[in-house]
Order: sequence, then structure tokens, then C-alpha cells
Amino acid sequence: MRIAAITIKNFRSFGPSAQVLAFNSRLSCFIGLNSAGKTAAMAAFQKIFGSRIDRNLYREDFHIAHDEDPASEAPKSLYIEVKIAFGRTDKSVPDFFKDLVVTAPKAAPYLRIVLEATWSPSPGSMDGEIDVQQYILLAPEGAAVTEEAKRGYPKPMYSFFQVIYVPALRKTADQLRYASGSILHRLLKTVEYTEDFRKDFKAETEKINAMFHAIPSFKNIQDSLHSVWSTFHKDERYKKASMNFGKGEVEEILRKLEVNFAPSPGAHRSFGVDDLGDGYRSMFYLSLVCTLLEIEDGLAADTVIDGSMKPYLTILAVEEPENHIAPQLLGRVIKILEVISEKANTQVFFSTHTPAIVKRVDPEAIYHFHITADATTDVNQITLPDASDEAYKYVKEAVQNYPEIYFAKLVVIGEGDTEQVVFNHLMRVMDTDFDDNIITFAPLGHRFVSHIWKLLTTLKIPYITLLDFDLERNGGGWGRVKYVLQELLAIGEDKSEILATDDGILSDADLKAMHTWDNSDPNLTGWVNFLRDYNVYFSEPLDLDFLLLETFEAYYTAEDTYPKGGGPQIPDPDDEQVAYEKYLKSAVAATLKDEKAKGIHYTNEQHELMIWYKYHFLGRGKPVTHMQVLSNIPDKELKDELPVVLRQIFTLIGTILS
Amino acid sequence: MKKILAKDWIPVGGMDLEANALTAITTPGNTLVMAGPGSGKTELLAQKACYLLQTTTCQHPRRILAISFKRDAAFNIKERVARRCGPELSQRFDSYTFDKFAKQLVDRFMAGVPAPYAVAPTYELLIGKPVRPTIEDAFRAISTTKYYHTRAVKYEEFITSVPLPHDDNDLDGKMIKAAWLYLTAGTSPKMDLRMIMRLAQYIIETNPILRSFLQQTYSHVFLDEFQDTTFLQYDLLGACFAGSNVNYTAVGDDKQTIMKWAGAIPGIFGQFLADTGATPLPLTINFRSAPKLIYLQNYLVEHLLKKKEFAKPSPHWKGGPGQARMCYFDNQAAEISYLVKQIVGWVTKEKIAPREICILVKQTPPQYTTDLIAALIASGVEARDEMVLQDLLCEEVAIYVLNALTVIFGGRYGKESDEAFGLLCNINASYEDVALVRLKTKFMKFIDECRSSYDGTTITIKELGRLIVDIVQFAGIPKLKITFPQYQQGNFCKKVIEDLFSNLKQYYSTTKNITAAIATLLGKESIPVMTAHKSKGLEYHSVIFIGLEDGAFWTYNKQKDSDDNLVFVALSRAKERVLFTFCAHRNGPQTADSIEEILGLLSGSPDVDIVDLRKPT
Repeated sequence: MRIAAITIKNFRSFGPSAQVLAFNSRLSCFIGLNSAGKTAAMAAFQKIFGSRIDRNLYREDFHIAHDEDPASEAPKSLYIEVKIAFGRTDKSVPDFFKDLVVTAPKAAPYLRIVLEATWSPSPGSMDGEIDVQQYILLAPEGAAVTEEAKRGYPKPMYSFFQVIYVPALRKTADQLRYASGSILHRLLKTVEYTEDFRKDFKAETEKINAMFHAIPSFKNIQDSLHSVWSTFHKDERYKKASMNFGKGEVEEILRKLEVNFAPSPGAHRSFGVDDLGDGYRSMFYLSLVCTLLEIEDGLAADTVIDGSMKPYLTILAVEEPENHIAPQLLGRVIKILEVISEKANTQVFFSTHTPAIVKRVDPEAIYHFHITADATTDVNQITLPDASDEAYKYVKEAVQNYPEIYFAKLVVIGEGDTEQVVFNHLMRVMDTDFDDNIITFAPLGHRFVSHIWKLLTTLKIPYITLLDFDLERNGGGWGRVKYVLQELLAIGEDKSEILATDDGILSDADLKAMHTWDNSDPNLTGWVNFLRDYNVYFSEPLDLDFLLLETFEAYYTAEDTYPKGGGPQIPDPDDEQVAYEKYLKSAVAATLKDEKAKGIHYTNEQHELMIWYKYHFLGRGKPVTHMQVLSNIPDKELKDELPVVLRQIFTLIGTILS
Repeated sequence: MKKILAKDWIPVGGMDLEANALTAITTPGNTLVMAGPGSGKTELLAQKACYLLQTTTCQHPRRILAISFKRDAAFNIKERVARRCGPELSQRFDSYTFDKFAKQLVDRFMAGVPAPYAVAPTYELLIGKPVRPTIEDAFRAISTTKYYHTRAVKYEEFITSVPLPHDDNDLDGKMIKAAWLYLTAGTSPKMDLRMIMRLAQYIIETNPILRSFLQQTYSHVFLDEFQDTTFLQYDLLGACFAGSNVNYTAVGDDKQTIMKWAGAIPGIFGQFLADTGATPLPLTINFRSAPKLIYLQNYLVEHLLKKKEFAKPSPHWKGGPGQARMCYFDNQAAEISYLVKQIVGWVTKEKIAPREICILVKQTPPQYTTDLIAALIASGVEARDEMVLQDLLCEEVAIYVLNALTVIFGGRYGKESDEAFGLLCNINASYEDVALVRLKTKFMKFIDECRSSYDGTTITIKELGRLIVDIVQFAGIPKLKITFPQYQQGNFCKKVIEDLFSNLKQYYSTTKNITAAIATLLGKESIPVMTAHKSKGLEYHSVIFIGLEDGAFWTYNKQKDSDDNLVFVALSRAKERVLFTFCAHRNGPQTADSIEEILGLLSGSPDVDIVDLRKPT
């Protein structure tokens, strides 16, 4: 059995419009900025399934609207619903059968558990009066809910679920104390002590006490203590003072149980949990949780632990597993969580702020939390293309390779490494915040960009797209315009708007043939400019490399951009004209990636620059060249001379972020 | 929970069980227990439930499903199991009537009914008198060919005669489908319990996941009064469990098949044995009746029912030898005068409680017993027709109100208080300890307030009505409805409460005392009068069967088996004494021609005394 969905309304940062988180996997990852509501979602599980103390509700649990006075005495109500799905051979079915409902013919039956609570002011108490009602809803989703359809939540059902919440700040030592609620306590409660064991244990304890009492000096201390005590005191109840190692109760010794770490047998020193570094301590916390789950997993289904049935489902909620742990070890942490989630009776939810973890998680199991304009939590999940679509794998891999986009406030979508390097540099120069992941650059524009747009739209993250114009390359010029138009149509843009021309709306056949249109057509510029309305820009005429080369030619052709005696071996145009022409022709062909390309849309100067283009960007590593050159250009010059398209983009970034 | 090893298990409560009963309990395969009257089948099923749960033969968390015919039987067995193996294990014992089992499946999985049979959840449940005319109207409405006129069928049976979905290529199927959709499609659908059973079957058959969940839930199924199983019920059972590894325990007595008119399947025992490969296990000890009555039963089994399952008296029988009489009268006046004298003697001299005496008839009790009841009351012995109140007194809400009233006016915090509070706990199943303590305090406070406001002898009718409403509202109607699904239907709950009020009002006007009125309503001091059909499963010290005559048995030639069985049922209700009567004149002359075999056998039995008060002709 597993949690198939949770619906949260008016709980903490969750507002009045219900958020439904549907879970298809047993391992789900919550991401989003601080205070976006991740912890609230985990707490929602605790309020419905947690231990008695964890289930308590407080005034603070009720959502306060952003425009509401926090001291307002208006009554409030909250709503949490969990939908539980069962596997075909789920062992727990018999305990829930009478509470299951179905939505449609042939559909799998499921269970709905609802927690509703209301807060109202109370004259007697600052905290007010909280009324809690937990029930099973005997009506399928979408059906009208009548009072009759609410069946009071049977008490024994609480023991069918347990929530283990691992906070961001892990106090491992607390969990190793034999105190109610600690993991060690829960572990040891699964041990059964026979009467014989208890008897033997008592006898052995008495033996130890006797051993010490047999030491004359030990006995001496006890006797003195006793006699001095009795001179102060005549109370019969406390008359005898003696020194003992407990009375032989098993629980006494359990309280003294310690976990030690030793290097290997025979070594002299062993370590306590406090001797571990923060990272190891954190990992050890997770190990404890794993152990508990493993032990519980091994118990018979009807085992009674501490008066309750062994739970059918353990919900493990882990906050930021990355805390204190070196990035290299994160893979291992995720592996642990995966292993736990593969057990039939556990389901794992964890929050993270680390792209390093996100990239290891199935994109379909990622839940993106953010705060809307009216200060309520909004949770979204990306929708991948259909699994049969050729874009599916591409997009899935794209998001796994660029997990940073989830954490961004703005994404710039480009085509390659150049943009990455250039943007990183420009962000600094233009004094636009880039460090704290607010703006992320993702080189995902080349193919299927509509899927990336869709994905960012679902996540409610704004984006700017910068594509190569590739004029005279295969698929360049009109071809690029066509590509963008088709992608815009794919995300549902209105045909009558984006295909509008002076002669009416472009027909499908016309659009299909657009890449064959003449690149000399002056209308091309019109289309390019029009697409800026959709935050789509082009590096014209070829790509960003060429654009920078052209703008900052002196820096890109300077001697320090190539090794001594290196650089392009350009024949002298006057002395070796034939060789030069050939050389130039081959540079143009190489740059435009077409044997027959003449560069007819390029000026002679641009043809000449293609020699350098070929040298810097087709032969050697582009990023290195850009890094080196950009660092040579004085900031002010770079800013002043910046190509128009980049200037426009940076202006747009400023607008979006403000 | 400590598991008991199967080999170490002994019957709970030191019950004395015969060998076949023990086999039926411990055998791992399907069983068909042929349990004659008084053989303790409720006890057997309760003990089997204990065995299965205590030895974990029914493995946690799987459950036992017990299906009975009557609501009180379903309740009795659940209560017996709880008593035998404790509240915790008995949680896993679900006891339903067939109707309720079907209805709760339909109500929860209604959204899973495939088109075009989808029914709105607000459907109206047809019960009792309106069933036939409503369904007949449907056939009339959809028929363009007057086809329905030509068919001599009961339409409520016709509409459920085939399972869903209906065959469009079959003339009957097409008709039925049209009538069915006429009743169930649209915004105000109507269904009777039979239709609900077919719908439940359809839901299960069309949803394999649901069926596998159901099969996983129940590892064992108990079927009580199995001889009365109908085709509809058997089909539903098949839809739910055929092909699974569910273990059946069917208990029944084909000597007591009296429900053929209601569709009981002839030869169901044979079919069940063939379908499930169950082991037939006859029980032979009759714990209920005195030896003489058992010999008489065996005599009828052999000569009337032509069967061979004979019973033996219990070796621990502590009562008398038993007594059976066949009484002949010239007319009803002579019958009444004889019976009144007898009954008054039993009550006054033998100190038999009126509740332990039962008067049975074959049908229409008023016709046979109105004068007798009047004469009994005139002689100081209360008697009444149970039919009138039986349904009302089975209703949870009625029981709760009566218990609460008893606590308020009887001033007792005993059984009634516990039972009333038990219902409150039941409808507030989610309450934890603290909330329950609070509820108890609130309830006690409520009782105290009522007590100080009203007096059991001076309360006005209007106040009584108000008080009953307050008591119901203390529990809360929505909570009652969710706990007891029968109240979800229309205004049934309201009707029960009004019924209760009007009866109580009537008794209060004669007794002038609420406590006495309640006692009368509950029939604690009166002799129950009912049809032999209704007496199934019940037992009494003394039983009087009135009217062993052709008039009462007018259908004898058509349904000899059922009627013979009915006589056997009436006889086997008695623990120590049974009387059969024949009147030569009752609404005209009476004969014993068609049922001569019965009278002849009774008169010829060495265990029957003949009382012939007819004037010699």
C-alpha cells in the first residue's frame, strides 16, 4: 500500500485553494526555496498519521492569508486528505476493505482519510478552541460529500501507519537515548524478554552488586555513608543507604545502553556517537532509521509493538539529507533512501536544496514548491512528454543534467557551452545576481525546446531563450524562425497571433515550407523581431561565438589568444592570392558547415572573420578561448560595446526579476 | 495476541461438542454441517470462529465473513463470537445478512457500475408493499407490445431472474433491461433488495481488482440457514468467491426448508457439495428438546420427510421427558376455552414465564388468534401478535431510545445504561479514551437532566415526544446514519422513531407509567404469537400450533415439501411441550383431507397424546 495523493488546504503556508500532490513513486523529492512549504507538507503527514503528540494541532497550523491580520479572531478551518492505493496482493487489504471506494468501472479501489479541523476564539484561552475531526470518506473522489459518507476514524487504524520525521538539524544522540519516541527506544521495544531472561538478569545483577560489596574499601564507603546518613535522618522510609548497580530490572540497564564504534577487534579505543564528525553523525542517523525499518520489516504482520500493531506503512520524511555530508557521499545517501523506499511497507519523502541530489532523482518524482503572489504554497510537478514521444528521453535527461533549473527564479535557455561561459562572465560584469541560483543558464534550446518551455511554465519559472540564427547553415535563417514558430504552437500559442501576416494567417503548408524561403527576404528581420515578444532572441547572423568575435575582434585576434607561432596560418591575400582565396573559401565552408556555402549573406569582413572563427571555435575548445578573451576586455568596454541582443536580454532579465 | 496451536485448542467456555461438530470446526476443507433443530449451530459457528482466529488458521489480518438471513441472527452470532473470543479477535469477524452484504457493496462501489447501469447514489430503496406495483409499473411503462400481460410472473422476481448485463438478443433480456433502466436510470432511481443483490454481483464480476481485494479480505465464509439460500444469493456468492481459495462452512437443515416461495434453491445441498467439494457433516445431538419431542421429530423425519438424519437427546438433558399433544375440537370456542385453561395453568401453577410460551399459526395470525388473545388477556395472561412490533424492536435506534428511557425512568444504571452507551461508542468509533470519558460524562449529565425534568407517571404525550427527539439528537442523526446504513434510505430513521413514539404513546395511555409501557412494548410479560415462518431459529418451553387443517394448508398439494418442513419447524421450536390443534369449525367447516398424512402420523405416534374434545357423532 502507498500514499497515492495528499490534498492540503489552509494548513500553514498552504492556502484556501487545495493543493493536490499525486505520488506515483515510493520515493518523492520536495524542492523549492526556503519557506516554500516543504516542511508543511511533511507535517501534514504527521498530523494525520503521526504519533499522538505529533498529531496535535495548534493555532499556528491554520493558514493566515497574507492580507489578514495575524491576530484576527475569525474562525479558521484546515483540511488534509490522504488517498491510499493498494497493490493487487497487498497484505493490508483486509483491514481496509470495508472503507474502500472506487471512482469508475474496473478501477482499483482506494481509501480516503480526511483530517478536518476548525479553530475558533475562546474566551478562556489565548490559543482558542480547536476542533479536530478525522474520518474515512466513503464517497469516491468527485462525488458529493454527505455527512453520512464520513465514518469516524477507528482508533486502531492509527497504528497502521507511522511517520518517522528526520529534521534538518539531526540530533543523533537524542535518538540513541532509551527515551520514549527515540529510534533506539522503538528498536528495543521490538525485543521480547522472557520471564527466564528477566530472572537470570536479576540474579546476575545481584552477583555484580555482591562482587563490589565484597571489596572491603567499597563496603567501607557504603557503611560510612549509611551511618552518617542515619545520624541526619530518622525517616523509616529512607533509612538504608546502599550503593548498587540497579535492582536488576531490564529497563534500567537499557537506559545505559550505548552505541560504540571501534576500529577493529583488538583495538584499544572505541568511539561514541559524539566522537563522530557532523557528516558521519548525520549518516548514522539515517542508518538507525534503516535499521528500525529493517527490523520492523522482519516481524510477523500481527506482531504487537508496545501495545500497537506493527504498522503497514511507514512514512519516512527526511529534511535535507545533504546536510553536513560531502557532495561525493550524496550518491550513497540517495541510495540508502532508495533502498528504504523499495521495501513494500515504506514510502519516502525528502526535501533538498541540492542539484546534486535532484539530478539523481526521477524527474517525475520531483515536486516543486513555490510561494505565489498571495503568499501561499503552490506545488507543481513537471510533465514530461509522452513516454512514446522521441522527446521523452531527451527532456528527461535534460532536466536530470540541469537540475539547477528547478531552483532558478529565471532560466536563460541557450544552445551550448559558449552561452554558459559568456553569461557567467556577463552576469558579474552587468552586476546581475547569478551566484545564488536565481538565474540559471541551461543549454537546452537546440531541440524540443517547447518541452523545456512547458516544463518551466508548469514550474512557474520565467525564461528567456537565446538561439543561434545559423544563417546559411542547414536549417538556419528561416529554418530557425520556423523551428521557433512550431515550438510556440506546441506550447499552445494562438495560431492567429503568431502566424499573422499582412496577407492573413500563414497556412500550415506555408509554415511547413518556411525553411525553403529566401533568406534575402527582408521580411526575415520582421519575424525575428516579432519573436522577441515571446522572449526568444537570436544570435545573428550565425551564433554567439561569431557575434562576440565580430564585436570584440581586436581581442579575439590578439596575439595572446594563440600560442607563440600558432594561430591561423593565413596566406597573404596580396602575395598568395589563390592560396588565400582557397583558404578563405574553406573557412567559410567550414564555418557554415556546408561544402557549397558561399556566405552570400555575409560581408567580406565577415568572411575574413570566419578564418578566426574556424580557428577558435571549430578547432579548439571554445569555452577556454572565451574565458581568456573576456577576461582581457575591460568591464566598461564590454558593457559599452555589448551586442544589442545581449543588451536586450539583460534589460529583460532586470525587468523580470523586479 | 498469543497464538494457540491447533492441536491444543479446546472449545471455549468448556462447551460440550459432539464429534462431528469438532470435526466441522477443525477440518481444513469446506464443510456442510447438517444441523437439525436444537443442535447448537450458532454455538458451532461461534466456536469455529474462535478456533480460526485463536489458532491463526484465519491469518491476521484476514477476516471471517458470516452471512445470515435475519438481522437478529446476524447480530446474535456476532455477539456470541465477541463473548467467546474477546473484542479484539472478534473485530475480524464480520456478520451480515445477505441483503446488507449486498447493499454495502453497492453503496460503496456504486461509481464502479458500468454503463448503462450506473445508478445515482441517492436511489430510493423499495421495501415491502411498494415493491411489486412499482416494478410492475416499470414493465407496463416500457412495454409497447402488451407482452407483459401475457406473462404470468411476479415482476419483482422476473426483473432479477437473470444476472446483469442483460442479453439484448433475448426477448426477455431486452424487456428486463428496459424495465431495469426505467427504474434505475435518471435522477430518482428505485431499487429493491433483490435488484441490489444483482447489482452487487455485477459490480464484483466486472471489477477483477475489487474481487481480488474481497477474496483477500475474507479467508473464511460462514453461511447460516443455508437451506434457504436463493438463486440470487448463490449467484452473488459465486461472483465474490468462485475460483478463490476461500473456505466455506455452510450450516443448514434441509428439513427446515420453508422458503421455497421466496426462491430457495431446491436441492441446494447437493449443488453446494458438488460445487465446493465440501464434506457433509450431520450433527446428531439435539440440545434443545426433551427426549419425547426428539423421538417425535425423528418419527416425522422418517415417515413424513422421508429422510434419515435422526437426532439424539443430549446426555446432559436436565428437563422432563417431554410432552406432545394432538387436540381436536368441534369449534373455536371449545379450542379457546381449552387452551386458555391450559396456558393459565402453565403460567400460574408451573410458573412458566409467558415469554417462554409461544403460539404459532401457519399464516395470518389475526384470523386464528384474535379471540384467543382477547380471552387470554381477560384471564390475566398477556399475549400479542409479534409481527406488529418485531421489525420495530430490531431497529438499533429504537433499542437505543428504549434503553435510554428505561435508564431515565427506571433509575437504573445497569444493562440498559451500558447498552445505550454502547451504541454511543459504536457511532463514535473514532473517539479515543479521553473523548469517551467525556462522552460518558455528557451522557450521564443528559440523563440526570431528563430525570429531573420529567416523571414517568406525569409526563405529557407532548413532552414524551420531545424527550424521544432529544434522546435521538443526543446521539446525532448523521452519526446514526453512517453507522447503520439502513437509515441512509430516505426518511426510514424518522419513520422508525415515529413508529416507536406512537406505540409507546398507546401503551402509556393504558399503563399510565412509562416503565410499564416500555415493558409492554418489549413484550417482556406477554406470550408471543407469530407465524411458524417467523419462529425459525427461536425456542420456547411450550409451543402451541393452532390450525392443523386444510384451510390453513390450502397450498399443501402444491408445496407439500415446504409445508411438511413447516410442521417440523413448529414442532422443533419446543423444548418441553408441544400442542397441535384441529378445529372442525373455524370460519366454516374444516377438513383434514389433504393433510391427512400429517394428522395421521401425529395421531399414530407413540409419543403423542390425543386429546379429542369433539362431540361423538
